[in-house]
Amino acid sequence: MLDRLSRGALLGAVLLIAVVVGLVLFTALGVGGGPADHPERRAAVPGRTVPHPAALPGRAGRSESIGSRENGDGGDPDAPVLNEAIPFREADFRGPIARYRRYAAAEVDRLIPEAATLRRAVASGDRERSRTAWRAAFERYQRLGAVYGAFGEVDGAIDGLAGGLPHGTRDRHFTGLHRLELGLWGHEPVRSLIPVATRLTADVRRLRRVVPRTEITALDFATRAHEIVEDAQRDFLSGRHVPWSHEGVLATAGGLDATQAVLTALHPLLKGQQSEVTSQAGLDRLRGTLRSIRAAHHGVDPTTDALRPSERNALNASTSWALERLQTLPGSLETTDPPPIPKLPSR
Amino acid sequence: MSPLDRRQFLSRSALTLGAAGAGAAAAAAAAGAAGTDDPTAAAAANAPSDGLAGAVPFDGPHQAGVLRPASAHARFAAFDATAPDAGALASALQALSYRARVLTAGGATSPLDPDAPPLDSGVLGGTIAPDGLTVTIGFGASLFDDRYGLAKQRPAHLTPMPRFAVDDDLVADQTHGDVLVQIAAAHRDTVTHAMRELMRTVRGALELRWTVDGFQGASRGPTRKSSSRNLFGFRDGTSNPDPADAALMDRLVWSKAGEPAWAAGGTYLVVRQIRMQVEFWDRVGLREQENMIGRHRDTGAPLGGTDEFQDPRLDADPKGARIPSDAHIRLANPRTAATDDQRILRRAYNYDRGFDRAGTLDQGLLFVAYNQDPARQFARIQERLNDEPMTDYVSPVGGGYFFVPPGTGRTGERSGWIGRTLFA
Repeated sequence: MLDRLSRGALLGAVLLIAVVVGLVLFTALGVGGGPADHPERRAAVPGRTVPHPAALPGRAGRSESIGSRENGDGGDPDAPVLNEAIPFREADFRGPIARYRRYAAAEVDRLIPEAATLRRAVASGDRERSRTAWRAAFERYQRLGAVYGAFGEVDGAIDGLAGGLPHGTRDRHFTGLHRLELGLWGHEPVRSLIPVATRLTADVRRLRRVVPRTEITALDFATRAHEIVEDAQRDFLSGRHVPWSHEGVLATAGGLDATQAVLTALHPLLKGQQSEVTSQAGLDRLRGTLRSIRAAHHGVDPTTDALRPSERNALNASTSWALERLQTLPGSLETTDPPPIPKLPSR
Repeated sequence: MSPLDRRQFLSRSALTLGAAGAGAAAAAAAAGAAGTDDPTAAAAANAPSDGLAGAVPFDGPHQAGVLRPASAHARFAAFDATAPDAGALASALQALSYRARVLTAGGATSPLDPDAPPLDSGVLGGTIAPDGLTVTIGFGASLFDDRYGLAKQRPAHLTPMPRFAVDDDLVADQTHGDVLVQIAAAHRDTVTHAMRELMRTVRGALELRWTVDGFQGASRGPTRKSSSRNLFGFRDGTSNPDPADAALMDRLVWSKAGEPAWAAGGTYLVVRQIRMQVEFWDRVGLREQENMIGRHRDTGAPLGGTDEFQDPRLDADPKGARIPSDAHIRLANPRTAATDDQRILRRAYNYDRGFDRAGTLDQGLLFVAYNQDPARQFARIQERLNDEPMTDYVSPVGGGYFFVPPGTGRTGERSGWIGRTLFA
């Protein structure tokens, strides 16, 4: 144990250097402007074109090699680095959670007028205008990072799917953004959606009251850092939860922003340790990929159907690469050492 | 029939399998192998470890594929009925059973007229090894609508599979069906061949609605009794009721009084295609995984224990200090007197079918369970599982409820077919 700790302290210095080097590279090469492949991946796929071939590999490669030395066991290069500050106290999370709450509240403040715009567009009967307004509100909602029922029942009213309802999409409890999605991308008369759009404006205002009061535990918050992108991969890039609009790219971009907000809020705890650096690298690469795709589609996120095969590959690769890095966050944010499991009593 | 236990079934000896599981005909064939040049026997002799010789009789009081331990490979195929009338439907079902009986028995395929298309595709050669093949036939609730005049014959507890949770992602074209055929065997090519041959018998009457292929993890110990693993890496099926306990099967599996007369001796099959987000799961700490399940991943023992088949002693842990109160095993089977008659006979398979558009693997669990009354058993369990932490990592995408009619009658009857009593 002592051995591991001293090694951790010693290599902490190395890590610090790596962070500095990484940041220098980061700034010098203008990372974040375009997609870049993982170094091993490029080696394995020689024919692939990469817009900014020099950008990420140095940084990623460096922090990874340090990671393996840090852990000293030749094992998973992304395994969490020992941090003398952990386990954290629950109280340590108060600041980050408060910061995230302020972020979420500000996003809802923007969502309220966007929902109103959507309602007006629907009332005008203009389908294209309504779809545009829907896209803005939908992306905004994803920026909240409301994974796994974080906002309770009101989340279901705004972003719920028809899956579990007894009558599916015909169920009268099916409402909110996805009900509008069905109507706007289907064949329903746009104006028939006015009641749904009106209700959405009310539910969004209700959300504004809920957000500051939502209970977020340290554990919730630590896991959210990777679960938002997990959700994006599972639900949006797969197409499952955007069945009518196919706006999975837009939704993923929203999820990325939410994850960034969580990671930024956690900085006072993570303080540049490896999991933070590599996670940030993952998010940056994903952001770069999304920006390139948007640029190639005239500044608008394309639907997942409109992605070219190379774009889909780049997006899937960046997402899974980011996830492999984000998975280290919960471990570096532990608040308690796991207690031993009690023994099963014998008869 | 004499149900095999898992140990016998997974044993690598073809003779053990043949002797324990097969009817007199197959046993005789195996016994006579040495002295004849019967190609079936020769194939078995050449590949004794593959269990190709084992035949499971198609006929019996119950369908053979119900109590039998899950085979190495299976296909579930759901069909929509397209027969123009009840007579055509009955004929197709009759032909389906007849062909299934021949395939499960194995033997030489007859060449007939060389100018005509062969009666068998030949995929398994000129002499078919039985390979433990079973073909189990079931009917969905939709078959009992007004198309074929069967509405009054509907089994008492047969409904369409309900949606259970907001996380249900049931896809219409992967869900429900008029007729379900479960094909199971020790080898994949046997299943593939049977599917193709059975399809020939139902042309015009049944059209495919969905199919899914399942496989079992190999028996990897530590003992021959140890359950194989699902794709989350956990052992599956540990707490199954014992299919050799006839009284227990009568209480939990076989249909009881209150069913239409034709349905006596049947059972209800629940099939669910449950997609597992395996990449997501792999990014979760082991302790969290084990707390979600309630068992140790390596041994399969209940948390705090050392052996897979230990009683988890939920009664001694009412606050969930050892096994969390929302752990899967606690919710699925609370092991109380009140939930005792909710137990089900599980025959799950893993599936692995490519990848989705996000580039993640389309893998999961083919949940298969037999029970006497899905409302009393499976649905109650599923309702308890609705909010378990594992729901983040799984989503039901298809499947259905099906009534599995009784078998054809006595072994060797040869004239019966599955569903005959329904159309009588």
